[in-house]
Amino acid sequence: MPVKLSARLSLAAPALVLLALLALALSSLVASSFATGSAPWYAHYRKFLGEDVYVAYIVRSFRVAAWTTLFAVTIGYAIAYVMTRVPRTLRRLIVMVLVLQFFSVSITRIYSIILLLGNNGAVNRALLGSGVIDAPLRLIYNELGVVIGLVNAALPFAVFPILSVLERIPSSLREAAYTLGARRGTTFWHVTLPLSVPGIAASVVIVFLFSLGAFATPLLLGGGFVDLISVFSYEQAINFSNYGFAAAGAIVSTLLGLVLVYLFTVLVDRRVAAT
Amino acid sequence: MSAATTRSLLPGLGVSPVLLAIAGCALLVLPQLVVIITSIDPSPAAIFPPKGISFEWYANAFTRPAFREALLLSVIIATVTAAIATTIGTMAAVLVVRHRFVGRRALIAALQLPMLIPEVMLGLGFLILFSNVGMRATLFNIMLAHVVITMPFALRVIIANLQTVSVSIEEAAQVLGAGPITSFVRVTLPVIQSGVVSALIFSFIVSFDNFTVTAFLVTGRGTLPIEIYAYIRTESDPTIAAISTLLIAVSIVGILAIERILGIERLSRVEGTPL
Repeated sequence: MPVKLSARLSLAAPALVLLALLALALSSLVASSFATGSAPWYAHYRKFLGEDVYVAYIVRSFRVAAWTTLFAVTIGYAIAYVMTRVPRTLRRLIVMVLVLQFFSVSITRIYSIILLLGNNGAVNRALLGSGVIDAPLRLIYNELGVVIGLVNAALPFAVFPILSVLERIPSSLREAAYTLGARRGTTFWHVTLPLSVPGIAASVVIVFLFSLGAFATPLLLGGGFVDLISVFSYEQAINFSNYGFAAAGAIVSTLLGLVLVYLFTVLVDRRVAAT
Repeated sequence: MSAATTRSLLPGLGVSPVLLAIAGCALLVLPQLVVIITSIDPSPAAIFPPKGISFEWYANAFTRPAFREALLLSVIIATVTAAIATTIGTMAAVLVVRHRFVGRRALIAALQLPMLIPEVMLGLGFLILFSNVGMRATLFNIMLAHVVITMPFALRVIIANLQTVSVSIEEAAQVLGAGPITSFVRVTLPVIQSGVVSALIFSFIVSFDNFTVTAFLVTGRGTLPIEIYAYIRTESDPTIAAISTLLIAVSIVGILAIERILGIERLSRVEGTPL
């Protein structure tokens, strides 16, 4: 018995109300970045892009996001690759570890990295104790620390898109390459890796945008030395009630990130189409 | 390079994928282990490895009113959020899985939009929106923002679950004269019970865990992640390690529950965005 269209669509009504709320929040954000009183409408943007101090937030954020993406996707690829080749129980265990990571409270996860890598942390104490180093290594409270923390947080996002692509590559292709005399390494570079490009690309996009928007990790693991754009926006908004300026910074970095991601996907699509 | 070494190395990188994967998993697991071990450290400096066993930090975590109140606040917010987000997500999921209409795919993508927008933009956007319209009820504001953020997660879980349930039993119920609402409540809902429970757990965790958006909206007393952040900025004793250990335990229970009733890996197979 067919149900009326209106009855069906009403199922989505509450969800659409949430989307409308989201749209309202984002348009308030954009509007406030242009609300400059007597100054020209682009004043916040001019100030943000015109001063080195502020541009430095953007440069730092993109640099940290790029390093994080490189490490997280490389390690994520290795984990996904290994997951397709280990017994089911081990594979389930790795899935559990990754999901636990996703589900862990972000603040306690960051705290755990401080305990592991801080000046008094487990790694430094082990190295000092065994005489490998004389003074503690500075592993956090710098860009390295923020990157390590972000890789730790982003690994689940990096692994799953690659895993789902790797699983769809028929093993017969690899076997064919072996039969034709290709070594494992050759097979990997010429068969498996090219076929997993869509998964790698998805993983790159997600991890990059995730790191670009990260807030708690740079706040805690940067120790005040690695202020990324998110920390800038928070401080402008909360400490100085400077909503418009905070919004302008967030918008510039997000738009720049989206443009980069768009160019990246266009490039990847073109290469995939060409092969 | 001999054939034997090529076998175990990624040629050109000189790194074994197995070693990389182990390093990645270590980066995920080691911090959690260090936290658990530190939580029973009797010394107040949170230095690894501990010199004995003590549960005083657990006692401290439970007796500090700030943490007790923060925990209560977090549980209230997460419970209300999970209930609303799951209800809204379930309704929308039924629409997009059970009905075919123009713009269906666009709707699925749009409903998952909040997952893709940087949390700083969401937090700042809601802060500006609420201050523009003069909404000063902090608790209500936080819940509203949390519902917007968590709904896509609930939606994904329910979509994943509904896709495994045959549509024919609902059609049978409707052919036998049940209205759409009756057939949903009496037939569909019992079948997707496991999905609903998983969605509740999932959205509870996402809300409970949220730091960034909450940080923008909170005034006065904070949720547990906010209070933890405030504590580790000034104190370095293992109280947070004790709290973290308890939260890790709760996360593990939640994940095992979802795995038992739904299967974690199925969540990464929903069209739209990868997890």
